[in-house]
Parts: sequence; C-alpha cells; structure tokens
Amino acid sequence: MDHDKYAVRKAIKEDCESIQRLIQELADYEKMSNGPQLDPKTLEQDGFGTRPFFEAFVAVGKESNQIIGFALYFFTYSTWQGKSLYMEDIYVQLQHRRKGVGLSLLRSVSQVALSENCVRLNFSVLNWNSPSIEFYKSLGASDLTEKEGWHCFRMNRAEIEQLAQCKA
Amino acid sequence: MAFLKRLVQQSSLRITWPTMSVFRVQQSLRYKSSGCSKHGELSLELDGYTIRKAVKQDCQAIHRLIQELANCLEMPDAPQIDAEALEIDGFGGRSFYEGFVAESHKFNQVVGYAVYYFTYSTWQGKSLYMEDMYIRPEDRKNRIAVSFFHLVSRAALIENCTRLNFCVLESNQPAAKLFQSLGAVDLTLKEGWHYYRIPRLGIEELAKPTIISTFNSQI
Repeated sequence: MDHDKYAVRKAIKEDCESIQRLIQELADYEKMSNGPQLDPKTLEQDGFGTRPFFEAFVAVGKESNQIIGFALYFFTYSTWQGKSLYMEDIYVQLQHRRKGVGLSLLRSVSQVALSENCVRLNFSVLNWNSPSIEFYKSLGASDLTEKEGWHCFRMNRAEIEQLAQCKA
Repeated sequence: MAFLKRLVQQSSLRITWPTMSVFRVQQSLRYKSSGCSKHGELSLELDGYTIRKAVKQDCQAIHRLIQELANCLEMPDAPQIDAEALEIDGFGGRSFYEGFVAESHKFNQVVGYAVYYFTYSTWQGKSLYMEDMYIRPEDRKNRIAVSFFHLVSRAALIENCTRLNFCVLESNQPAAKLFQSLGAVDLTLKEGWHYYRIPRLGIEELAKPTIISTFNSQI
C-alpha cells in the first residue's frame, strides 16, 4: 500500500456515516441494493456504545481525507478450537483498488486476531465473486462449503419470535 | 403453535446439529404451565431437568460433553481447548460466548449444553449465532433441545437481534429439513454464500508487515 496516499486505522464513532455509505456501495456490488437497513446512528450505538457488537478498520485517502474502504469484524467461538474472528465485511472503493488497501485492511484484522490469540479467521463469499475467491484462496483460505459441505442457515426475526414464544 | 406441531410430527427424527451433535426431538412438547419461563427469564424447569444459563462452574462439565460429542463423531483429537480455556473465554474479563446448560435433577449434573454468541450484520444489525448444541444420548427425548432453541431465541430478542444464524452440513438433510420447517433459510443454496476460513498459520502470514509487498498490489 502506498503510505503516502492511504492510511489504515481503527474506526471511531464519527466514521459511521462514511461506513454506512460504503456498506451501501458493497450491497450494490453484491447485487442486493435493498439489503442494508441500518442508519449511521444504529452503527454508532451498536459499535461504540456500552456493549460493542463489532469493531472495524477504515482506510483513508490522504489527499481527500475521505474513507475509501473498511473492514468490519467481531469475535466468535469454536467449542473445539476456541477464540476465532469473523470478518463480516471488507470493501474498497473501485477507484482505490489494486493499491494494497484491501490487503492492509486484512492485515490489520489479522493482527487483531493474533492479539486475541484467535485460531480461525472466518468469512463468507458469494460463489460468483471470482476475483475475491481467487484472492482469498491465494491467502490460504479454504472454502468450507465446497470442502466440507457446510451451508449457512438463517432464521429471521419472525422465526425467532415464534421460537421464543412460550405456551401459556 | 404450528412449528411445535411440526416438531411433534418429526419426533423420531435423528437430528445432527451444526457441529454434528446428535439429538432426538421429543414427542410431547407441552410445557408445564408452572414451568413456563416468564418473559425475559432465561431458564426453564422441565420434568427432571433445569435448563439455565451456563456459569463458570459448568465449564468442566461442558468440556466433558464437548469431548463426548467428538468421541461420538470419531474425532476424539478434535477438541483443542480445555475447561480452563472455556472458563477464561466465557467468564473472564471479556466474554467470547454464552451458553445454556441442561442440569439433571436425578444425578445433579450437566447433561447438555448450547453455546452461542452475538454477531453483527451490516445490513440488519445485531444477530445471534448458534455455534453448538449437544445432549447426552440417555437424556434425549425430554424436550431439552427445543428448550435450548426457545431460550436462545429469548436471548436473541432481549438484545433485539434480527437474525439467528448457524451452519449445517449438506449431508445432514434431516437437520436441514427441520430447520427449514422452523423457517430457516439455506443461504448457500438461495443466495450462493460460501463459508470460508483462514487457519492460524494463514492469519500469522497475513499479519506480517511484509505481506503487502509480497502480494504486489492485487487488491
């Protein structure tokens, strides 16, 4: 990464508006523009309140002083191997790619993983996203869906509420 | 409730949970009215069992059950963490997971557990991930599994979570079908999401200062 042009640092509360803008850009790229439902204020509360649910790094373009990329993550746990880290999102604006910014973000996240003695760094990738797939595999990542047959499942709010109901 | 009726119909189903734990769904899913947890309480009384939040003192028992599950799966060397690590990681200065345990009244011991943690969706906010669940074979058919589901869902609502996520092996069709009957969606099939992992060695490589120049600006 050209350190004259870019800097990567830990995200702060004031970055949430920029992060939210980039979250939308990433959703557009993933062809799911209607996905993002959060506003910057929610990100502020959830990431920088009394109980943070995520942490993040941002990449700043020094010339513009604008946030041009981010990586958002949180800690998870394996009952077999212990502390792990899950990278929820990583995104660099198109015009700032191929300059080592994404790798710098990933490096910062990896350093955090090591500081907590994590044994795994997990994330999800869409199966058509060939450039990302190629990149992650070059870093030693395994596709556990292909390799071991793991599928990602989700229950949404309505299903959670049903399960949480108790028969009176 | 409709989903409970579906569980009743599948009462003899052999289920394999995300990390391949094994349990059976109970035929009778009626709670005792006196055993129904009040809104916000995270515990339940069943016939012969108490389902409650895990505490530090449960870690020895949880570790024993983790090992039992690994033995059952013929992977006895898979668990790498001990009870002390579970104590530190779950009940130390920073908690990396939370859990529920099923305690047998008869033997006064923990016979099942469910481990979960909170995650985050940049699209929908706070979420909950169910990592693992296991019940000893001799204690199944006692509504413990559905009780775990129920209490984990309550924990999710207390934090105002919008999603409950987990992984299931493709080969485990009975579990996949059960979860789908509860309204869960297979995002791998539906949207093409694949689950990736970089192991410890890969993390160490990535963390080195030299990684940037090594990769020659690919990203």
